[in-house]
Amino acid sequence: MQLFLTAILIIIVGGSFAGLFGRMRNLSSAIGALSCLAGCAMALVTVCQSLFFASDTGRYLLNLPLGPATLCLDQVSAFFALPVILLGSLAAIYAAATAHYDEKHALGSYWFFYNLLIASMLMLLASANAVLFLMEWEIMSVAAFFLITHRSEIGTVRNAGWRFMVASHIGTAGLFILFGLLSASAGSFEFDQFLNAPATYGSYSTIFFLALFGFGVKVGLIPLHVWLPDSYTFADAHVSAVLSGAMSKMGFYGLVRVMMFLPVQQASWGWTLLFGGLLTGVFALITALVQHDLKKVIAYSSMENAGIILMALGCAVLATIWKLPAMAFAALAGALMHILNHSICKGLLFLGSGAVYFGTGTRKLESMGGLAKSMPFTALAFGIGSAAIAGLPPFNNFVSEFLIFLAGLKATRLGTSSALLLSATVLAGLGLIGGLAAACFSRTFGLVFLGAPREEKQPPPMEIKPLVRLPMAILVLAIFSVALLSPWLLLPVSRVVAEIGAPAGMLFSADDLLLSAVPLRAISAFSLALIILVMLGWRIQKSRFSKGEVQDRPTWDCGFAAPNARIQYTSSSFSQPVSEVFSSIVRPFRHGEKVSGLFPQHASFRTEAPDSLLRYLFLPLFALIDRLVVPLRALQHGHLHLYVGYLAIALLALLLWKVAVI
Amino acid sequence: MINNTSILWFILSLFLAPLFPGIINKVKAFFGGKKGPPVTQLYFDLFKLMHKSATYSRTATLLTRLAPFAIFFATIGAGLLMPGFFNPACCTFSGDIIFMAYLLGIARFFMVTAALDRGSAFEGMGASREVLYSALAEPALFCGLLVLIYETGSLSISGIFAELSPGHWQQNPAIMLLIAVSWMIVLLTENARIPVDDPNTHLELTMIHEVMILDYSSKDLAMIEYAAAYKLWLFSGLLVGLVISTPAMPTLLHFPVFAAGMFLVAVLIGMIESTIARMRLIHIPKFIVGSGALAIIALILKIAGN
Repeated sequence: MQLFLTAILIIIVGGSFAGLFGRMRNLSSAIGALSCLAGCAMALVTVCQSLFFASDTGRYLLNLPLGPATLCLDQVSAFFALPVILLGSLAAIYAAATAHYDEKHALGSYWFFYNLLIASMLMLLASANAVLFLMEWEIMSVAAFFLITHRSEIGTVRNAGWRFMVASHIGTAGLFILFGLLSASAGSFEFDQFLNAPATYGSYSTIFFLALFGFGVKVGLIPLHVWLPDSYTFADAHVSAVLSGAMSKMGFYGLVRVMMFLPVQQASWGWTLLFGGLLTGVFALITALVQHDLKKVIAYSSMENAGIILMALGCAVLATIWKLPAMAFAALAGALMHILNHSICKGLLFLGSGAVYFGTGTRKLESMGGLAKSMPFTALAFGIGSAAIAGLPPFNNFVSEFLIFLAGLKATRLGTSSALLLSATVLAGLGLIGGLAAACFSRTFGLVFLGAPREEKQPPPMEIKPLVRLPMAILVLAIFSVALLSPWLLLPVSRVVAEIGAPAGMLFSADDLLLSAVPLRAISAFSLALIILVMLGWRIQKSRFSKGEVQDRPTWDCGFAAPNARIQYTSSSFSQPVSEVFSSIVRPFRHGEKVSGLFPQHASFRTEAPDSLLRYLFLPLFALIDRLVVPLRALQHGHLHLYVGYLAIALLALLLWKVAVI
Repeated sequence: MINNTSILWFILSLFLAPLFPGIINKVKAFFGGKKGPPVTQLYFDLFKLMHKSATYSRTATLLTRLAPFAIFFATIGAGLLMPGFFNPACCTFSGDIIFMAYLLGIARFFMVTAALDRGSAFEGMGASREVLYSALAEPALFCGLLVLIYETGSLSISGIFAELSPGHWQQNPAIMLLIAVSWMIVLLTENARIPVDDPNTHLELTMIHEVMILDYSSKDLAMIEYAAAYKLWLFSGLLVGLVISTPAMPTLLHFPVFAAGMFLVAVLIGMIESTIARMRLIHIPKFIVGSGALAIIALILKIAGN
């Protein structure tokens, strides 16, 4: 534990020094990135001890004004530290290597808040005390806010930042009530005491739904997601990678942690998680399919994956109630693996989108195309990331999605109607989500990297530097490692699963592990064979049978003699069938002139689809609140002595209430 | 769990798959009052293509060259999970049909991205349609599957087909029929047949599958054409396994009965293609969602029958 805390200290101290030397850009970057790397490496040692060797890493008591607070790292915390460490260190390398692309903005505060964000997440995972947890949660949100609003001179960035701030505080308000209830019932702020404490204040269901609300904001549960797409889009690439790959996972950590406090689980929670996740996933993908901003597509896909993870957690809750250990195991293992897999893929995609931005200076899908020729490495990495995030074999996300499918299938064993309903939801829902995700990412990858460039760029796009490629290469490696080593990775995951299941009385046997591991063995064998055969086939064809090949012909366009880049499908036209079919959900704006006459000269068509829930639910809601609270502005006049008077009045009122009522 | 008969069935399916489009075309020719190409036409085509040298667009990247291999091997890999008639597949495990569907999914991913790789107006069109229609077809396949899993209590496709018996058809004729119809629609969608897509159309604007491979030639095209025929074989195999379910049958009869079943499916597809016109594109999503609805009705009947 000492090592872990030292690591956190190093990250914070390094960030502070980087902040002090903000003027000297290279020095600041070096200190910030190296301290982050060193801290992450040290933290990884403790995490590996806990995860792979199942050794107790000890406890540490911190004296807070509100009483002592325990710091410890159990297996669940250790597992959730993996994405933080992975993306925290890789994004730091990426940030340092790309710092010279933007000479305008100060680096000092940037590194300070970046390191603070990483440190606060690690600290959050280590804190086994409600007060400490909430403090770290708040520091994490504030640090993220300053990172998102780094380019605060741009209006949309400020907007995105404020939306994030408001949403995150509404969520935190829920968490304050939640932990207030828990600690009032337990008579302590320590997590140890929460375990099996009677629900004196508020029922277990109240606590669960408060947790779902508070942490749901972070993970992007529909309709609490409206801050998410903008924040991920307008932050820098490596910040988006950390926000989506690590920070949103803290939401899942909180949810899992709170559920571990509750000795009894209820079916209604499971169904809420299941259908909430399904709606989140489908809505996110349909909206992603009609976006024209590269990073927005990736941001919505984060939400989709959050939906999948929530569905898996829902399955786990129901399996616990139905006493089906094999199903609960598959669901929980699937959820955990998906959390890790999504971090890897999403980190890669966001870093790739940053590389595209550095190469072309734009995020607009409509003006890209053909980047595979000028940026081959980025294209390869992004292509692998796209296929992986679409949940296709032989990549890593398929493994975790398969486990969740398996959990859905295993419910049929029970034979009740509700079990069948669950199976149908998981199978049909995940099937639809998988198909739409494949649609979404073949579109994104195709529009950005394939075909011919839709706009001439001056200067022409350039491949990123080798140092910037390093984090992406590591993530590609991670994708293949998880995909091919999944049966063996299941063993450490099974210990985390056991720890999550224990409080609810779920005991797993070795058989449950085996039932999930056997299919994974077959899948990893198939995956390996597929990769080898495709590469081998291609090499043989290239070396033996490529005689007489012609490589320089124009694309066949059905007899059209002068094809050019403008006749290609664009992002609007590719997603037109989707926006047509789901128009009642995405409610796209269509702009275009009617084609008329025999020889029409001007014709254009463009669709836009800002988040429909934002447009039809939140903007009207907040406009209403705005109208209601505007009269209260009279109280906010800026005279300090009157504000002190308010305090006195409030205290007096409380005193009177105490005397008269209680 | 590899046994010799399974491998034999697998190899047999590899050889016989190209026969399938030939039969369909023969049926269509019969309905059109024509003689039609020989049943073995696809073998000749593949043979011819293998001896040609390829032409690539100058826009194409490595992806265009890798995609045929990925499509070919992923589809064949899916075949390894497909049970032979009353024989378990070469490889079976819980949830193998999901893996099978996703192997076909990776093949489709390569097909679609390769189509976008050449930067053609038409290929993008096919890609855009293909991804939507296949995404909509997935729930129908899985819902039907779920009912069968529930009926038989087995989580693998080989296990399901081993357990299915005429008893299931006698007890729940409505449910089984609904699944069969729903899967037939999935088959037509996934394999680009009429009324979703017309494999023989001459207007690129209306195509889905064919338009995505406009730029392929020689061995690449041969691999893709073969994979398409094999995919059709796989889906027909699912349908035959669902409909013909007689457990007590002498081993010698297995192959003739299976062959007859496959032949009937091919004839059925040919008849559908000869008698129904291709749908307008805007109606296709409704058609596919309809198949999902049928599967869901089957599921609800099953739940209600509990």
